[in-house]
Amino acid sequence: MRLLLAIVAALATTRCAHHYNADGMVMSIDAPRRTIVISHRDIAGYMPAMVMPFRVRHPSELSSLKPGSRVRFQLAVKKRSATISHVAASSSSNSNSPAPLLATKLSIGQSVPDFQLTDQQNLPVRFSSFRSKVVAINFIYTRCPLPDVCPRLCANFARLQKRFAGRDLVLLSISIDPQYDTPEVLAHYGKIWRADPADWHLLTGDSRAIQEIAAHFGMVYWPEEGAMTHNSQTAIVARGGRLAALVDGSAYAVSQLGDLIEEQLAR
Amino acid sequence: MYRIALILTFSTALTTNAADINPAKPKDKDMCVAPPGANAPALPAKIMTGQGVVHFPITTSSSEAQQFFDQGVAQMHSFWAVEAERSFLQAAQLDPAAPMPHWGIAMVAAGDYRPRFQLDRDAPLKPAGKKPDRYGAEGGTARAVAAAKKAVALSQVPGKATDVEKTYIAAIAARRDPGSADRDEGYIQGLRAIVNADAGDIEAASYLALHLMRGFTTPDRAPRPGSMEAVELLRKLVAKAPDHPGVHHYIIHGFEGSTFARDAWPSCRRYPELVTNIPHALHMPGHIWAQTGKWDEAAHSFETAEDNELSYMRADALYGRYHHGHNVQFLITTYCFRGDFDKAMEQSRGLLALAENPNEAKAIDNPYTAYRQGWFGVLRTLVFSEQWDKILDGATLPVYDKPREQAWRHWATGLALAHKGARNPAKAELRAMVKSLDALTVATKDDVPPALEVARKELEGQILVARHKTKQAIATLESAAKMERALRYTEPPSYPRPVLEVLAELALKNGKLSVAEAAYRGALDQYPDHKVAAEGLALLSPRHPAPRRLSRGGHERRPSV
Repeated sequence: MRLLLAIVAALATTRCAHHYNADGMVMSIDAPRRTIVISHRDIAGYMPAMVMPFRVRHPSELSSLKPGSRVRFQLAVKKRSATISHVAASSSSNSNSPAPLLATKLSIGQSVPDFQLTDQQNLPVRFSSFRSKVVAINFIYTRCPLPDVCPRLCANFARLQKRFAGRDLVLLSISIDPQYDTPEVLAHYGKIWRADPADWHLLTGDSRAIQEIAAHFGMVYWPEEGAMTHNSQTAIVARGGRLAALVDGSAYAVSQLGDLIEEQLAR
Repeated sequence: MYRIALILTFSTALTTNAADINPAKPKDKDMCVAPPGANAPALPAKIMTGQGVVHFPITTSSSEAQQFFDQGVAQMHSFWAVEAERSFLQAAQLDPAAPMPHWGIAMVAAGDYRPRFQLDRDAPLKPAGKKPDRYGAEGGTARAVAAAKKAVALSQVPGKATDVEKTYIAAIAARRDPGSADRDEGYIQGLRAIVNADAGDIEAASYLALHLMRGFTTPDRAPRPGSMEAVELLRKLVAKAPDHPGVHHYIIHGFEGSTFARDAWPSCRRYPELVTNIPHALHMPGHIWAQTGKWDEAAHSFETAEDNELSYMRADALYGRYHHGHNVQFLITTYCFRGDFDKAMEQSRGLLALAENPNEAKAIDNPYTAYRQGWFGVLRTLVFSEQWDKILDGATLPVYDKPREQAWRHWATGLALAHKGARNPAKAELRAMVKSLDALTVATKDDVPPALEVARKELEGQILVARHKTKQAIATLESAAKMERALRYTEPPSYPRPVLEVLAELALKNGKLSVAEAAYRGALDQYPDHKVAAEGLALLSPRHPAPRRLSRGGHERRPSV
């Protein structure tokens, strides 16, 4: 009889729950506590965009997620608790984008190997010199004709530069078309985005070296009849040089990327 | 007085019967023209040297816009769609109110400013409802349609376009009208209106000729409807404008595959003098030189084009490779006909060094990548020179695990085994070839490529030779030769070597002199001045003491007869 009452009560509670579909970017995961921190967009009818922790109903749903993953989920809000379920990673890459080569891709938490490239001021830039800072890295090419891809990535970095001005953040935009993107070309391009060369380096260098660096972050690209076929990856590297997050595609909300950086800066 | 409305309400009657055109399957196309960009060029244009000199005065407030417009027209005349579009975009930026730069974009962005017979041939490549092809032609078409609308809108502003310009714009707008029942006819009628009003308008007349030429049939080289009108128009134009790059270029295209291809020789000399810095312009004379037996001149054209194209490729990692693959494949073919097999092999290996990108590599059937052109170059060279041991060593011709290439490899291996008298292994290769062809038809949901049908027939003939069934072998090879000559016109020829020469040598060896003579004469008609056929025919001369050994470029080809 008690059991029956418990079931009826549970059903009544469930019936009272409100469900909302939402999406956002994973900031961090605490598997033992079944908790995930997500920077989510507006949840219509419930709350505005913000960063907040959610308890996951099924812990198995966390297994494939990493900081930087873009997710869709369902939020169930009851009288005294809220949980999320149906958590699914969503790629923001174009379906025609090449898939990353997993064999060379770094895992979250691994150290990023050092490299040296040349920036828009024709100065050498060594990655390891930024060990005391948080570093955001993306990959672009200046003659990219698609406004939704490289120009958008640069626009995002321009906003990050503004948001984190004076703080311990370094932005690196590495060209995947280094033969064309000389320091002079990058300097001109940087001016378009008002890149301050003190904390936003647009980098070029040996094409093989760049290919190697790009592979660490799951970047795949190749020239194809007048354009570059490529995917898009944005990496957040924590102080000390370990990979903290990897964001796929270019269609994410820049505020979410900013939240990811904020979290690293706060550590 | 020209009227836009006149163009847009032209009759939809066809000047030719579509059934006469016999569109080819995708496998018959080539990569003779560099594809347009998938996206509009992102970088500004520069004034480039060696593009050919053309002056097409337009209504504009900017002399610089006129300069870029002229450059765009010159580049268009050499089918360099990407650069032409870039030049027109620059002109449009310099004078945003001028309608004609948008007319230029509408002309070139779709990548279909090419000879009509190529468009007929490639038409089945993009059936309605299919996803965009990898060359971005659909994206280019959208840009062309938008540009045509823009040109029409700007031309309606008082004082911004002359009546002739309005007619040019109306013509291309008709071609870019998705709702039109016959876009080609509207375009042609618009150009005819300009030419009828002013026979001295070289530009309109040359565009018209290009869109009228529907090529020549095989093997009889009879003109298709429209082709002779184009030829006559071009003969008149070259007299009026002897230094116009487009006119010479279109003469080469308009005469190729005809019985009078030699008439294009003067244009083959003049065109690369007028346009020195566009790979396609340097390449094109080779088409005529090759099919008229001028192998040395053909090699020179392709070599010059290759040097020019490599300079662009070295300067820009994004420069495409398809046209380069086509040009070098033609150079390899020319070297084979000339007997320069070592050079043919070297060029083939050069293409094999251009690894396919992941998209190309995953394509089940894309024989046009530079790598696969190189692979086919190796196959062509080894079979042409009858280097059977190298075919059988399993290394010289690398295994390329795609059905089309596997079918060709089994064919070559079968030929090699048959020539060595290994009948049963040769038959096993034939069976393996058929299996690969089945896999190809399943993968492509299409028929067996016609050149591979010829190959299967030839291999059957060679197996009969190995089985000493000479009479049947000759009949089978005659059938294969007939099929080969009926292949649709492509340059370079899609079949690796002339079957008629193989037939002639078999007949000669077996004392069937009349069969041998007919086959050699046919081979010389197919490929004039080819040394092997010419020497073979000489052997049959009554004045000749006795048939001797035949050779190909230093490689002993077969035992004496």
